[in-house]
Amino acid sequence: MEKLPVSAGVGLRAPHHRHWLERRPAAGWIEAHAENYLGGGPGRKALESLRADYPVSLHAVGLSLGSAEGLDESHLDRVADLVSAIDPAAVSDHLSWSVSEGVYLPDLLPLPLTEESLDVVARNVSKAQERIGRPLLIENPSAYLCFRHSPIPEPEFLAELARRTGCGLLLDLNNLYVSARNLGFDAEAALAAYPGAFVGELHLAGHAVKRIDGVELRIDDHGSPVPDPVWLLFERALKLIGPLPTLIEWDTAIPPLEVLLAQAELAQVRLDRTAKRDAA
Amino acid sequence: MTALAELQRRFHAALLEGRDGSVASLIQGNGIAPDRRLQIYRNAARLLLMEALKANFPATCRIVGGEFFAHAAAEFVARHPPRQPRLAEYGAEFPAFLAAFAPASSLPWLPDLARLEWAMLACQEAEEAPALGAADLEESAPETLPQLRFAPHPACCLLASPWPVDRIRSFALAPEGESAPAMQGDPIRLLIRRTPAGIMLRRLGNAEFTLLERLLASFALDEALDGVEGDPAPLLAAALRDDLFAKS
Repeated sequence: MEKLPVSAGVGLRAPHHRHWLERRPAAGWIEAHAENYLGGGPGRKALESLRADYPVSLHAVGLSLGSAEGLDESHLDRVADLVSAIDPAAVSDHLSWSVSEGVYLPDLLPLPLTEESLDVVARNVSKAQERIGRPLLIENPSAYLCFRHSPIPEPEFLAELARRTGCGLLLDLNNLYVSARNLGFDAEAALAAYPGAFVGELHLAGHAVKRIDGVELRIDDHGSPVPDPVWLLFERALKLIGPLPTLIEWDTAIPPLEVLLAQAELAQVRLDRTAKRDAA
Repeated sequence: MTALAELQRRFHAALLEGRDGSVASLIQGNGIAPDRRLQIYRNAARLLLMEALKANFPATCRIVGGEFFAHAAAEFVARHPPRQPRLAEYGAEFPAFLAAFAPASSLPWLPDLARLEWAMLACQEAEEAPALGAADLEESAPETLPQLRFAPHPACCLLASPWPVDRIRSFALAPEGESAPAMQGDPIRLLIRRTPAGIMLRRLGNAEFTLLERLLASFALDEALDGVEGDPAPLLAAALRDDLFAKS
């Protein structure tokens, strides 16, 4: 199986399909949201065509790996069929849940990090991996709340999940920063505790800042350039873990593709710098 | 029910129905009240579902106006939350919901406009499938032709309406200042299909509609042709050219 290159990639978004197809701009790799390409039509054709020229990461947002009721088999089958058709270099989803009693809410909802949750997520991840025939990368979501009873720290929870299921991790540094600010923990310390050996991919993005009840909250809207504190965390992660495939995400108020490619270039410069230092 | 399943059930109820009480006590405040924290998730989910309905029913939204649409969409989301994760497939029940939605009762054509948009979306999102061509039929022995049955191609469908919803849709999506079509007394029969250039709509006559309706329901060819007026050969040839049947 092909691996994601250790370079900067960009998210594939519908408004950019034409630009990609007609100009094939230089990019290390592209990431497509699996749920956007399960049907047919021009979007699916665009992805199949681009697959010939770029390594592809399929990023699912709807497997609901944290649902106590287990996985939606028909959705899992559709994602597995897409994986067979595209043969991506990586497949990922989140440490979160969306489905309860068959109803799906379009968000990455938070889990209490308990032994019970660990059992549930491990069972679901194992089942998904078995069905799609390859390991998943599991991403840390951004959070706006934390449960009172959530005794296992996230890095520890993810490390144990990786040990039990053989999955890898996708470390989203913007999510780590957003969660740290919203829940009041130290992002640098959480990064230092992160099980780097399992991490196979990094995500970078921008977020919005809101004030609620006079308190600042960070909203993970992927709608702006990567902010300085997230770049700093990225540099820190490269030092701690080493260079990794790194994605620029941009999902709301999507600008021209050039803006995303310029952000990817900024990530690439930092990746190159780390690689050079490691070689020296 | 396990503890996690119970927590997830309550969390969903808080987001969909605004009943925060039983889940807020499980959440750390830490400077911001738990219900305000829940509100962030609630707003995000509602906004995304509203945006999905707007994207899936753009002409319906445009013609009733954003405020009316938001009102209808909010009620629809509460009654029919999605049961699968593809937002491009959310809203199958929206046309029927609009038909029973009292504030829209003065717009009798509105449910059919939504039905048309849903049919177009279904064709747009349908899985790819190889189409049956005229050459494929040449392999069939002539005596078997009357018993031939076709499988409908997933990227096409038919729609009949007492209202000119194709023109209403064009009007809704046109720049302001276009003159409105007559909103009555113009029954239409439409063929909707996906082509490389996009979704195409074509108005059909009675005979062609009846024939295609039967063929797409996999009637045997002789049953499908029964009582159809005029020469069916050109209609059949057009159907094959339009890729209306899937290769079995």
